[in-house]
Amino acid sequence: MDLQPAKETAEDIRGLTPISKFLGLIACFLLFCMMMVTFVDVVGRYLFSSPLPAAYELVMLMMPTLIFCALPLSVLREGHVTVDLLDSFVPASLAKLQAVLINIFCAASMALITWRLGVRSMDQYTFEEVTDVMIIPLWPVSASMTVLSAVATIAFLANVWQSATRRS
Amino acid sequence: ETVLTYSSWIPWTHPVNLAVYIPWMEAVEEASEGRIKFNRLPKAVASPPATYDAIRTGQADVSFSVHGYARKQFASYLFAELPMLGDSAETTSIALQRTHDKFMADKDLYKGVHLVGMLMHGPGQVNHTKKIIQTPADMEGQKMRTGGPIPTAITEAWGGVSIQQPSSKSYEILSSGIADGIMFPFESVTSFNLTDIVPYTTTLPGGWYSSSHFLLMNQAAYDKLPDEDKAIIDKFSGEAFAKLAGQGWDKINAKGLEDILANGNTVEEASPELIAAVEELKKGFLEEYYAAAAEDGIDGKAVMEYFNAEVAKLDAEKASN
Amino acid sequence: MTEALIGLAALLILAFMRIPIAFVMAAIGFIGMAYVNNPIAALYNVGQTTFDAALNYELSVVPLFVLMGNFVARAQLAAQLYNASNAFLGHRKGGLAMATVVACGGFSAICGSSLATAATMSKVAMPSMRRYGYADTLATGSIAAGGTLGILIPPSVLLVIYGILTQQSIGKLFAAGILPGLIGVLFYLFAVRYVTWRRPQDGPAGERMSWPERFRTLSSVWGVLLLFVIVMGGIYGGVFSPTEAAGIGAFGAFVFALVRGALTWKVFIEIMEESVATTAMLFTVLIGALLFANFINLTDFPQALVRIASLFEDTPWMVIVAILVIYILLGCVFESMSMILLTVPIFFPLVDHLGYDPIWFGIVCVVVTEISLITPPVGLNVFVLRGVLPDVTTGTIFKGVTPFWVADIFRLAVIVLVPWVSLWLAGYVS
Ligand code: NA
Ligand code: NA
Repeated sequence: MDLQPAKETAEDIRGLTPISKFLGLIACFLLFCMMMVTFVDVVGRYLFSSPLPAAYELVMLMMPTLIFCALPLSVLREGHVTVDLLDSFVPASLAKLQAVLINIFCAASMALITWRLGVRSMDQYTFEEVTDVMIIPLWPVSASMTVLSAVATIAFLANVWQSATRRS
Repeated sequence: ETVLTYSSWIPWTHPVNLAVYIPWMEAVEEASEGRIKFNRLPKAVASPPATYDAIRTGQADVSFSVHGYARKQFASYLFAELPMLGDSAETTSIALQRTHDKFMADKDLYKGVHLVGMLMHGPGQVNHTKKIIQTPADMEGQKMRTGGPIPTAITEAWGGVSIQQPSSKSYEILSSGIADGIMFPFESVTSFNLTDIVPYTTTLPGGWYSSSHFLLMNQAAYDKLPDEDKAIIDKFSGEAFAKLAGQGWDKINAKGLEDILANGNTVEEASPELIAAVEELKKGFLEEYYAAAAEDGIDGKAVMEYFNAEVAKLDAEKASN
Repeated sequence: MTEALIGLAALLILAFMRIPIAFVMAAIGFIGMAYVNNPIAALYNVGQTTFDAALNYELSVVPLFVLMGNFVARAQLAAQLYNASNAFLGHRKGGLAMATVVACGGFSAICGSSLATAATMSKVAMPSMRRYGYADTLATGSIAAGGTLGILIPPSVLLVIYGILTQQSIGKLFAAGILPGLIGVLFYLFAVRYVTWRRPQDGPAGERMSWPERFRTLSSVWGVLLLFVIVMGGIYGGVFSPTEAAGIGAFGAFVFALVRGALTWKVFIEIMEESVATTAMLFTVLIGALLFANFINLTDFPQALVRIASLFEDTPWMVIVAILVIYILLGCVFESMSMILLTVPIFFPLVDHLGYDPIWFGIVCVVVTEISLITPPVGLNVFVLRGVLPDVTTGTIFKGVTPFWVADIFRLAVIVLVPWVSLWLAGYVS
């Protein structure tokens, strides 16, 4: 369930919106595939005594890409859970500064996650980490997570810009 | 005084912790006269496959991992998963440690961590919900939950269906009938609560498969120890660890078998026909292992011969005691 | 101990400054780990925890149950449920609100998420309650509260998470949630009764329908029943695992929406986008909560709690009461998923140690965190309603849910005092 976006979001920033829309569509596609994989696996197991080999690993591998492809979209919609109890006490002049600082905080956290996923990916490459059943290397998975969370970081920076230039 | 954080991805009350890792920690604590203490973290710092990395990067100081989690990095150890290696976890664990010392120790396979020692979990068995498996044909169409390549290959070679789900799902998939059977050592049948669900067990001399684990320590945490404390850790490393751990596994596997028999379950030894069929399959497994070990510059054939000879020697020593 | 308390305090302060809770938990978790352990290890833990949380088979139920709920919402099933409950209850005082509660209960049986339940029902039930002149307080209160049933009545994303955290059978947990969920429906009906008894003008009676008409509406809810039977029957009949049930349920709901002609390409894409955006939001919270939990794990806070609790070994119920109070307080600020993730790893060993049933405790946890969805200041169901109905103030909705909140406290008392309610059905699951 999506929480209602704030009045103005960074959705209209040039270039970023189409990119996040496109990534969102990839996430949709993966979610649909995940559903089909489960269905085909269960049906195959009963009707033809042949489950999809390693269906659980397939589903597992789809998860990170699904989540991180959808991340920029949810960042631009400002759809994160917040405590807005004090909103009515914050004067308008301060609210703008607050919005800027919050988005900087989020951008910094996201940048940290991006950096560490990148390191994780390099380690997985060095140590040849692979999945259990299909022996698929894991580093491309974390590498794509790195790229996608970099896009999410940029989306937060776009929110910083947007809230700094927003007229209240 | 040094406090080492120990991260366990199995619950602290798990028989393996009670019989293997906690006794090891207590032995070290006692021998160090209280200078080394283990802080047992309430919750694991990483998922099981990521534990090696978590120790390497200092998220915790000590933990154990499974060679099978890193099939590329530890390809040369995968012979330890083959069928018919030995009936005692103690002797196979010591033999594995000696094999490591002789063939793998100089290959720098444990990059970035300090290896304490390794073990084998003892013979894995075929456990079934409805019938006893006594011929390859009995496996036809059976849905077996398998972990690792060997159980999967055996199941599929005989026309069974391999269900690949995480071991934590074992109870769920067996009790609901999604799987008809599972390959597990006796200990795991009881600790995963399957005693009532899989009343039929077929044992194979030397086991249907096995699995090898190793205890590892953060390199910096080890290097930082004063020499006298390093000596304590070393004293409980290598063969000493293998022996302690193997004995622990033998104890809990025996307890598992005892509970299974007390429950009235059927436990039968494999028929000669079945043994011959596994032996036939093992030839193929060995060829694959030789090829994989060769990539790491290790003579798989020599490894296997040395390991088998050590097991035979240790078994004989044990019998004469 | 001190580090953990400082961390918790910082968490609350920063959350009140409106920083998204997910990132507050992540940042404090990271800083805390850097302080308690060492900065390098903390840095590595950030990458590892994020990767592990995302690459997780069992958590695949989250997007799939969310997707199922969204398909079901678009397939007009909610409207039919509402019409049917309305036909039986609408002519009473507060009858439309009662119908809302019952329809929410029915919808919960095929939807794994409370937010989706609240959002869907607000679109379905709000217009007719307005038409009949219901007070906004009662109308929105019944929807926001009814929506909370979504996470207790199976399928439930939260029960799955609890099951994963504590290694309990998800099938048992699902079975255990059914009776407490029905009790929830019953108590909410009493709450509606109470409101219309005190202020009859808040919930005027609607039209009475004839019995044949009533049964006609009933015949249209077979779709809901069918989906429920497929998902639950599949789990208990051993056709598939609870993890797979989410995928099968989503597929069933997809086929249903397709057959009903509810799926244009545009609607389909909307449903998918909504589901993945929600998934991303939930996983951000999940990763944040895990990082924070990793920090707490490294402090001696959990051990200290166990030490304190063991002082009450003779009166373990005091520990349970204390836990419940902590949950209700935390629930004011936290969202239910973060709360479960944050607290279960700490409280579970404690409760287990005192000899309580883990399945029972799971139901207690979910019921008590469910209350958090409707308590101020952060009540997600309330926010969802405000999003759908921009002309109703948050204050009005919070006022409206108060009687339901009281009903929840009564239900919680029943579930805590009578474990049988949760354990009876679970006992039939092998
Ligand atoms: Na539900
Ligand atoms: Na709340």
